[in-house]
Amino acid sequence: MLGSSWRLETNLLSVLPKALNSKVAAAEQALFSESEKQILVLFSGKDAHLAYQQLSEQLSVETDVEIDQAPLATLEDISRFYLPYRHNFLSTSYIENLHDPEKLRQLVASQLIQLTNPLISEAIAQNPRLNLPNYLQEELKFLGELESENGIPSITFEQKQYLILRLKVSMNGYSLNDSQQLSQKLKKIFHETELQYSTELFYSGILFHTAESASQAKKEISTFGVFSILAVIFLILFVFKSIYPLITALGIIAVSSFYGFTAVLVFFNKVHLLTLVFAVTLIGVVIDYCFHYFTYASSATAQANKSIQKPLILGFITTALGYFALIFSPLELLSQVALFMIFGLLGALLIVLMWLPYQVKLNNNGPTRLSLVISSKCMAIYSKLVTKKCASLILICSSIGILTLFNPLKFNDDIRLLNTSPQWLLNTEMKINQIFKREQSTKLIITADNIEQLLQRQEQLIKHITTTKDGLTIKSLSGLLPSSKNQKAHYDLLTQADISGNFDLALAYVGLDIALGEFAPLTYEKFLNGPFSNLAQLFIAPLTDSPTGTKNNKIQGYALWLDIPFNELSPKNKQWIASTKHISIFDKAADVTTSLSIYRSGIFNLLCISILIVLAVLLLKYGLVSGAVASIIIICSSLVALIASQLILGHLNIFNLLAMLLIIALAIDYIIFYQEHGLKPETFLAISLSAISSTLVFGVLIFSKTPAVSSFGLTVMVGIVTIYILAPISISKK
Amino acid sequence: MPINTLYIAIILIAIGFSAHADDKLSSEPTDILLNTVNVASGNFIQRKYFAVLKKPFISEGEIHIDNKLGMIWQTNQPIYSRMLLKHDGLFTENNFDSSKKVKGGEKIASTLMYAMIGSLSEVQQQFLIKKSLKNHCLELLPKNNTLSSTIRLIEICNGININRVVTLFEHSGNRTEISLELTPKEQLTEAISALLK
Repeated sequence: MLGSSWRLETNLLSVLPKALNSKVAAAEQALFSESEKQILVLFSGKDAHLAYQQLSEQLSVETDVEIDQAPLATLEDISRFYLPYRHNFLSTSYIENLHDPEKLRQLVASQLIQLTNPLISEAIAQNPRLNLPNYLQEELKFLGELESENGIPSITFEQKQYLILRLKVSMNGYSLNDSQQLSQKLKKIFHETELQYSTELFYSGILFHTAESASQAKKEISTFGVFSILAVIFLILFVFKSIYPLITALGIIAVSSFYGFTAVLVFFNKVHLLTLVFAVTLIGVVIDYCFHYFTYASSATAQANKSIQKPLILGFITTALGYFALIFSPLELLSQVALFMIFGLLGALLIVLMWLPYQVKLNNNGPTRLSLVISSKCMAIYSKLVTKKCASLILICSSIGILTLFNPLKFNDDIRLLNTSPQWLLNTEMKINQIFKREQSTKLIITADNIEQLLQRQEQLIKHITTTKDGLTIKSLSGLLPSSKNQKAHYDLLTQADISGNFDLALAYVGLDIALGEFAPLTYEKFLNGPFSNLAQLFIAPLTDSPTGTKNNKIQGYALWLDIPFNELSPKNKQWIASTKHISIFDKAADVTTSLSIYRSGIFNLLCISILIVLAVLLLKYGLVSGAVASIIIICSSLVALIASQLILGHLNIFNLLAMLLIIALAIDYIIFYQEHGLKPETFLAISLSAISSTLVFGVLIFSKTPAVSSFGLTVMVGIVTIYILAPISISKK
Repeated sequence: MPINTLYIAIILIAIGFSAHADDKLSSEPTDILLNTVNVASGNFIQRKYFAVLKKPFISEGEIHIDNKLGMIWQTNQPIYSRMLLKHDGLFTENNFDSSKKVKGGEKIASTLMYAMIGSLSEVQQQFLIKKSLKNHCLELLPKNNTLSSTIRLIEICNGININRVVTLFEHSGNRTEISLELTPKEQLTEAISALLK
């Protein structure tokens, strides 16, 4: 473990399934990976400019963050850039009126008499037909409401001006520790700036979401963890009146975790953080092994000692076989958790059976008389339940049946329901979306082997969509960078109209005539060096054979994206898009949700197989009747946990299902011990201790603000309580 | 010689005075050089001179201004077009296009609007105001980088009452001369106001 190169994967999204189409995944990565590193800051108020300057100067010396802001191009710059290609661009008004000399004259006249238009002022000398200013006036509106205030990009919303500062961080926005540190540093700087100047400051970026989630998780680990540990320590001290069982239990948990961790590293070169989070369920089962030993530790007879070996070994084999099925899950996380559990439990079993019997101090510290008396009294209640086994089972099964009938289990895998971002951050995002008028939209991604093909496909797509829905505002680079084919087509139309003399009236009105010249297209390479180079990099990305897309990697194609207003894609268009392999709809949340659904179904099936394996072992070992009763109890406990979770949460998710891992493992242990020992005070005490400690450790997770964790905790707690109540019913001997 | 000394003294005193003259002139309230009005309607004649062309383009039309609502600039000759300067931006419409937003002209249009009604306090953040060498005229020199990339200066010359001539000089050598005949109003008509809301 020390010598091999392994790493801890902290990117929580890496556990999620990859896109089924690798080319689409590569395009998404190329186009949107940079957005994970971006931060947007808005300033408003009387001293917004001063605050902006101060913050820019302060951040310019920081190494982790850089100012990522190209100056806004002026209309004069834009006009000058496009002038060499002035005859390649025709607006709809021009195309529709190219055949009519008088209409062309009016088009030109209507532009010349405008009170103010910098585009015309720049273009008229070289473009007296004024087709270029007319075209640009139309296309530039897609750039939105951005303006320049003393060289600083700004936007006005509800008569309030906001200065814009774009930053870029050097690390991946999903890296937990780095995000937290940088987020804290930036928040401190922003807060100081706000206090120093009379200004309001908004900021957003994936960095802050990650940092808040990590900070929340750490706070919960320390709060819940401390509470759970203290509660378990108190419990052990109360029952055993000695520190040795506690130290021993902690030692066994540590060793079994080491076993589990090593096993994962042998088969995988990275351990996911979530593996460790879910593998903490190992604690619940290992402590169960410990409690069984401790309650029998002081027993004078070797027979009593040996009597726990058999159920422990049988329990381990049954659990291991059940988890074995999960190793074949397509979700790497689940395979890692299964390996961790199997080898961790093996480690615990070996220590309990081979080392603990030689610990004299431990063996002299059995449970107190008081705890055994309490245990006996509680057992009396259970005895009544055991005698009414049939009735109890019928009642439970019919209750579950009725509940399932009226409230069938339903899973909602929407990833947005698992969002852990705090409300203030979500409100800020919403405010910023309002300011920039970012309505909900659908992004489409197009891929191609070369730029010209890419641009032509974009034009075909836009034509196809706008044919079915007129007046649609599509946000794309298509207008500012049409394909060479499109530019040539416009040039040919203009030339034809000019040759036909249709521009004579207009040119006479202007008093200038400039020959059209040869066709020269505006290419992507030239566009990259123009005033819209930042837009080019935003909308178009090269596809390389390396995920990082470094400069030296071979370019294998290109991808671009465009935005369509939400819900404006008709079913027919969606069908058409689905049939074309080079166009895809980008909806990360929907993709992840769909994949989660597939995986959740897979996990459900694997859990069913696990339960079947467990049931088979129980039937073989304890016969048809006892085995069947035990099986029914395990299934009922699982169903009660899920039904109760659904009643409280409204729906289930994949994390409710993952809680089954612990419930089934504990159910196996409880049932096997009851089968082997019957309803004895020591057995009852050990199982009670196990149930209480597991409830303390996992049940407290219900209070987590992280939906995934609270879902998991709720199901575990209900499941443990249920199996604790039902397990004695499986007893076949008194 | 005494007379030479006197002469030099007079020159020095004149230099001393003129050194402060700009300060005195720039601190002299310039609003009083223009009659200010909040609401007005009237007619305009616009002459657009392009440096590369021999003759100006002349257009005529009507103008309606309310400094709280905005401005309607409607050209009737040689061809119809209408420009509306509202709170949410600058819009144009003509025989070819229905109302559409114009990117980039809003700041210049609002500056011209305030210049036309003599409301110079509105433009002082963006412009340095100077008295022109021409009688009854002021010069607005842009401070802002965005405006200064297009505009060299705006000249406002007072006429009778609130009639005036506003000239926009561009760096490209082009200029736009607007002759205004305005009538102050209590408020714009309902129909006109509705267009600006």
